[in-house]
Amino acid sequence: MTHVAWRLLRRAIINFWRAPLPSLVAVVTIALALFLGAALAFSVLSARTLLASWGAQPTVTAYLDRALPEEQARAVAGQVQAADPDIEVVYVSPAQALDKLRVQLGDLGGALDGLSRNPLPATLEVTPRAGTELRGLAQRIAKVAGVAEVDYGREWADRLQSLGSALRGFGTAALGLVAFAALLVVANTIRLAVYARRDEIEIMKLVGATDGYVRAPFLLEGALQGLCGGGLAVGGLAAVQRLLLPRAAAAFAFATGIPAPHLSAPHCALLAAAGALLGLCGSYLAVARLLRA
Amino acid sequence: MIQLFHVTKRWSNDPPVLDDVTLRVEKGEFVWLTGPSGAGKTTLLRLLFCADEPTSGQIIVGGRNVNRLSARGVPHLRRNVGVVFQDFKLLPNRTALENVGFALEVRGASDAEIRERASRRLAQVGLAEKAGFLPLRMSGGEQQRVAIARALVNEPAILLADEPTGNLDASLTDSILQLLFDANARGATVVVATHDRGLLGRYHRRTIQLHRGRVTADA
Repeated sequence: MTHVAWRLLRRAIINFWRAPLPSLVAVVTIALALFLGAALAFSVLSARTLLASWGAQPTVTAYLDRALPEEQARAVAGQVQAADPDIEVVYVSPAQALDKLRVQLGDLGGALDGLSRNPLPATLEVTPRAGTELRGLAQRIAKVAGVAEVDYGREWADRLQSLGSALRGFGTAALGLVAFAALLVVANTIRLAVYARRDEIEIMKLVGATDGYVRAPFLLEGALQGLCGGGLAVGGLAAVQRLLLPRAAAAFAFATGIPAPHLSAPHCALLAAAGALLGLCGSYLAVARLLRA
Repeated sequence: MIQLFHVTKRWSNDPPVLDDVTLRVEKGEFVWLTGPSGAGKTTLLRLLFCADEPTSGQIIVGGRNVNRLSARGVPHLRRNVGVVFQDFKLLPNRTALENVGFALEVRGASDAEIRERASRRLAQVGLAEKAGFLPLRMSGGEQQRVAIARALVNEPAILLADEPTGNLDASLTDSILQLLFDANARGATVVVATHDRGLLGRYHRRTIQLHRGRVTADA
């Protein structure tokens, strides 16, 4: 049976090259479908990462009175910590806050050098244990002497959470829709190529080929086209990522504090596999109709 | 070898293309199937190699009842029935040798076996030197000989030919028919559909006459 498998594969490759135009149309169609699907997946993934980074670890920030000398400000931090052992309090001095901002601004950090004085107050970054009721904690901290203002962003965190859920639903539905549309388009594109070879199919059947034998080279050819389409989509995505999106990636890293999602080797393998599967299913649907006829 | 019992074939509500046909072809016979255009010759042959199904009646080919054949059984029956068409039905992008070998390919034969047997068949029909030619670079007569070689390469027990000389000059007709007679001499049961009465006059064999789907003469 090995020689039959090798012959079918050889036949698929020969057919691929003997009809370059239909093959190319199928490859480009698959590549476009994968490119759009992957771009959508990356967008959804990035948006979810962004939202998760914003809402992942709810913190309470207490802004201290500007008039407090550093020693007293540190004492306030000690009071807050002592009042609640379930929280973690980090004192951030005005100078540390400015340094942090400078790092976050990256190339733009130099702009801070023009400031005549540090406008940032000392802050306490309070990380509660998971499940802590933020509103109550914020109210307790606000009552401590020396604390000017408390921000816990609960409303914002709730909104992020619901936005994240909506985005997940939208992403799943949109990806499903893109996959279905891609399958239809690819199946119809391959069907045109298969239809052009209906005489070949008829003759194969006349000389006693089984449906499986007729189908096999078309399926292999479809998988081959899918692999090429996957490769083309990977190339396109890599080019877009390298040439068009570095600024967006930097902005993403700035906003989240983590690198933007990028095309990795497993992603490439997944795209190639998705391409092969798309080509395989498209060919199966296309040939099935002719075999029935 | 071939038996038809009250076979009728009709398309929707049209008059039947074959109407209550009953006939029997013995093993090793050579039979002309004749009649004017539209008599039902091609339809009858198509029923024999399972390209169509009868509307009613029973057909037995090589001991198998084709009405009871499953979809998987059809390819196996076709491997024992060689078919030759008026329009040759060769794959244009394959050489003569590949076209002949194609019938062996689908049976899973090895490359060496395909090459050996296909070459032998091509030599038998006088085309050894054109094994590497594509069909479009060959004359009509040569293409038909390739088609006959393909039909015979599996050494089928039954050979069906639908107007095999219909597209050929009179000068080529005799050489093509000789190949079919040779196959018959080697033991194959041969049924040839033709509307060329001149052939029937030159080569006296059993002749089944069809007219409007009915057998009107069998002699």
